[in-house]
Amino acid sequence: MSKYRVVACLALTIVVPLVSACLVSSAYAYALSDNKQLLNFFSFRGIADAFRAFWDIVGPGGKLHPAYFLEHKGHLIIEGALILVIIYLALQHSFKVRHHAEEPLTEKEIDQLCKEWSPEPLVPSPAGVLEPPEPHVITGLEGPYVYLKGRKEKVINAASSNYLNMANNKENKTESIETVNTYGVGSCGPRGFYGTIDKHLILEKELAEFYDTEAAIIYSYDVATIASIIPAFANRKDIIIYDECCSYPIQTGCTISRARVALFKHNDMEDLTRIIENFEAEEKAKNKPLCRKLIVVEGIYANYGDMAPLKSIWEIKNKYKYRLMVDESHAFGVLGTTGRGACEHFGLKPGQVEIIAASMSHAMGSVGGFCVGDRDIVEHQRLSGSGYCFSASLPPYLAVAGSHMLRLLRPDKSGNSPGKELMSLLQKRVRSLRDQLKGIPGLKLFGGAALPSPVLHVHLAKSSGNPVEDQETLYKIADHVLVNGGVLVAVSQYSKLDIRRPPPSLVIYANVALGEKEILTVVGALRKAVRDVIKA
Amino acid sequence: MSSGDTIAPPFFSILSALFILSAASIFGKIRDVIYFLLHPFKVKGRTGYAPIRDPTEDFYMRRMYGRIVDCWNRPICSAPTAWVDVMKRERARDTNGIDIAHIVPTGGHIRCLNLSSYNYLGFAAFDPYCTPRAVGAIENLGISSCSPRIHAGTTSVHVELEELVARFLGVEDAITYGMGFATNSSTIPALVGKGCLVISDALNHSSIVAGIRASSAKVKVFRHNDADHLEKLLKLAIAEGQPRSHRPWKKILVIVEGVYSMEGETCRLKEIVEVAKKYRAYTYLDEAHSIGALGSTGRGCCEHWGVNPRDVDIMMGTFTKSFGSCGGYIAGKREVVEHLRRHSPAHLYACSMAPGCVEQVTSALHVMMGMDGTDRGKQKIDQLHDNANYVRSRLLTMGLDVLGSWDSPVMPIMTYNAAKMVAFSRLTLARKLAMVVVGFPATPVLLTRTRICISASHTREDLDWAIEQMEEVVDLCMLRYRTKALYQLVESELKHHVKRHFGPEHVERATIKALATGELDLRRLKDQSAKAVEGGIGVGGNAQQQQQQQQQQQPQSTSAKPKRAAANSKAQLEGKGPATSPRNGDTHRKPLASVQAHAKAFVVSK
Repeated sequence: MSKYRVVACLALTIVVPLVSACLVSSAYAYALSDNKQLLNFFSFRGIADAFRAFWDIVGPGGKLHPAYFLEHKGHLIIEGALILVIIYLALQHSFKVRHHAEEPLTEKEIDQLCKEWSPEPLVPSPAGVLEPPEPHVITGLEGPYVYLKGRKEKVINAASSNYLNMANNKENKTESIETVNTYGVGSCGPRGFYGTIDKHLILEKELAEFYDTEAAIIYSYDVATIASIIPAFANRKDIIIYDECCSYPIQTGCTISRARVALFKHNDMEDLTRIIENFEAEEKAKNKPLCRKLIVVEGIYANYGDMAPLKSIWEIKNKYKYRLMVDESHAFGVLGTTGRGACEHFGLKPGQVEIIAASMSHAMGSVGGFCVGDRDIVEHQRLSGSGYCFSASLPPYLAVAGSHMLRLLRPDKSGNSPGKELMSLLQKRVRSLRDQLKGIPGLKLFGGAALPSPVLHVHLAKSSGNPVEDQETLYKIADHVLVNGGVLVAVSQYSKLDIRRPPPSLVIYANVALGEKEILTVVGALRKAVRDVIKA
Repeated sequence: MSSGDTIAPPFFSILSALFILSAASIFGKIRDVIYFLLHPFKVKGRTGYAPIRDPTEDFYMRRMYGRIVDCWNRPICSAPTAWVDVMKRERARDTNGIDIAHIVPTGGHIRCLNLSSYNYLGFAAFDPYCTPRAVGAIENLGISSCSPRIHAGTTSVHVELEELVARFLGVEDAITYGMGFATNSSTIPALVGKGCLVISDALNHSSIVAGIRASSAKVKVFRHNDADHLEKLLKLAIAEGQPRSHRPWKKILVIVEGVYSMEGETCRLKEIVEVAKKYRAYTYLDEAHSIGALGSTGRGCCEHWGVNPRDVDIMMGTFTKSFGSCGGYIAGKREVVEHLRRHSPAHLYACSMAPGCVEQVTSALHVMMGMDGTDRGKQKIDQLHDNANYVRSRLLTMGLDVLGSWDSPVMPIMTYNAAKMVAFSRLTLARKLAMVVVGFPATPVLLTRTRICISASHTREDLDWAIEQMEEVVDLCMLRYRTKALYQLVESELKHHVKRHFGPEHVERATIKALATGELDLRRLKDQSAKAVEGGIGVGGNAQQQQQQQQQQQPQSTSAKPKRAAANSKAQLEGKGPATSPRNGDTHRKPLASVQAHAKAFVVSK
């Protein structure tokens, strides 16, 4: 405000003397032109003369009188100005009441505020929260058995999702070691900047052939795979619908994309249809332009072990023209006649599902992730998938391990392959494990015995209602199983970042290396542990 | 002020760059129109589905990127060491620009000098110490553990590596992940959330951006490497609190990188840590490119600037670059690492780092810490700094606009013009140099550049040959811009660098020309100063005092390697005086920044 005052003062100090000087000088000139004697401001008469002279100009009839101005077309100017004002006012929406801006903080106040501010500690104090046990340290492998630090005898490993036992496969190891000897371990660069090694190209080509798609792309880590694919295909304007039981990478991918996100009830097709129809109605009502729409599901849900009904999801997706993205991490190499995963299991042909992504760290026995699809979809990721562009590429020996697994799965002319036998063996193991785990009193196997999924989530049959308490019981059971039964099983643990924390469970993974004998041991140990722990 | 502030493309370059870009896009549009006229009924994509890319992006990808697609993603078929076999490629289909350009290997390869891999210490290829150990780990523990760390993914090598990393960095504890990108993108959401503020450097890596997005924290960006601007932002943020609700922030995290990969600049860590400490903000230092590459024993940015690693709350780094493996780590206070063990998604859900990769890092760290019984690690680091400083000085004397700091192995050469960038890339490949070019959208349109990454495995002959080859290419591409302000700034930084690390008596001689011609040999100076300190330890009480001070500063390094630590101590003490603190030293350079800032603003806003 003070600024305006200064301007007004300045204007006044300039205008007032100017106007008075003008008036005086014109009066002076008038006086001169009338040949009267010079004006004398020092005598009364002189002042009166001057005033009269002044009045002759400014008074009625004078040239500076407003009436003179108006009569000589001056009214047009005033009318014009008024019209301009009217136009200006008509163009305004309304008369805004100006809020007075608050006085900004002074330097002193800012310093004071900075001094007063006390931040929270970087991490919350761990006191009062259930302490998860230290993970067991593995010191060696022997078939399905592992050696743990601090234990002499080997224990059965039922906590690795090494379904086809590829990670410990002898030939696979030899090939990987050869690669390490020639290529070194790391690739020392992102794919764009000389980090593309021929082994990556070979694996990508083999993946595309295996899935019968146009192209494939590999990522260097499993959690970064789907979390960078989703943002490449959706942004603020787009729609993503995903199952509420999807695991963290999918959730974070959707968060990073900033798209409009909706969750449908787990495996509930009616809910999915309802949500899609809501979106359709909204689109129609607002007459929005066509946007990218995506449904994301997991082939086998990592946190539950059950499967998505892909056939019906595909029908819905096809009807409403959504794109479908399936995370096949646990299903790849496990389900389907050739091991392509849940899509094949449900009879979907290659190309019907637009985007298939999977982790390489389960059945493939390597590390990393991949995505297969049309060339358009894959090439788009090469520029837009942030986990692909901005990260160092996969170590070549891990790519070689992946190629090895694919070669095993590839059918020969008669349609058989060593991989196929492995898969049917795995299915046998899954059935046997599920059959026997189902019958343990005190535990409840999620999904029942008929599921072909190798991820077994076992919940407490009688939950205490408090997840922390259940978790503690499960830790005790797992510990008992390890100490008395010699079996390593996992207890699920979820981050506080997960939007939905599934109920605590024991996780057991089937594995071709776990024979009938080992399965009996696992089940026996669990049975005993439950009896001892829950009674105690 | 950073060297990036001093560059401004000459007016003619701006004109020509914009001309080239508009010509390319106009011709692209014309071709699109002609294609449409020839195929009026052809519909691209499936009806009812929105296209995967929006039309502008699609046009850029087909008509612009499609023309120059051969400059990136060049596959190699050997280890990414000093010399690589770059595979020959050619366009697979008749590329009329309607589909994305398709380029495939044709068999055959050319052996090129590798000036692009992040193989700073030369651990990428077969190493007599590391490779047998990595192979042993694969044999004993399998290719992968197929399980997250909390289940069956923790092996003895993981535990060993985490202990070693913590010891190497001089902090309490460390946690490792299988991928550098995921380290950032999963740690940041575990540390900050709603009601927290992240203040991030303008040029931070995409993984940090992904991490911040995944957390629901608010973010503010401070000018690249500008501690004053950071202070201003911090003050304002604390005073104003959260937007709209005006509640105070729960916590503020300042995220910086040790060496910026596209600028080659080291972070001004000392000032930034000072400012963050003053306002009780937490600091997160991403040492992806600086760990192993900076500091006299490779301990990264903290050692380079003489900052106590315990003053940095979270030290992040990757194993991809200097250690020739994959993965990343977070190191810091025990409770922070414990919190991450409980909540970091990459720890809970992702498959653990492959045992072979883990062992590679462990053994590389052994070499660097001298635990293999040789001084190979020290040799490697010295060689890296020597190579980097030599090449940087040679390129600068050639009249190129080279960004970055001394000792940093990353050096971008500005081309300012997309066409020059492409020509440079193709011409250097023809002369058997494998080099990286970076253009829009990774950099602003007018700040395209080509980048050299120096390795300890390069010999002086390799580098001399490379520079000889580049002389020709540089003339063909007309890249000698000779930006005076940049040259002066870099020279004053050199003087500063020499003063901090080798003592003020050498400052007079420290010019870029002297370094390029070999008159000034920083490696010999380093050895000399190391010897001087070594000789002085037993003699005077003063030297002992120095040693003690050093022990307080860096307990870990001293216990690991007393001799080296002593050398270190001298360098640090020299850098400690108030007159030589980098911040004070900068004041006389300030006016230049304001003049050039306009130029930069103009360029960036394009």
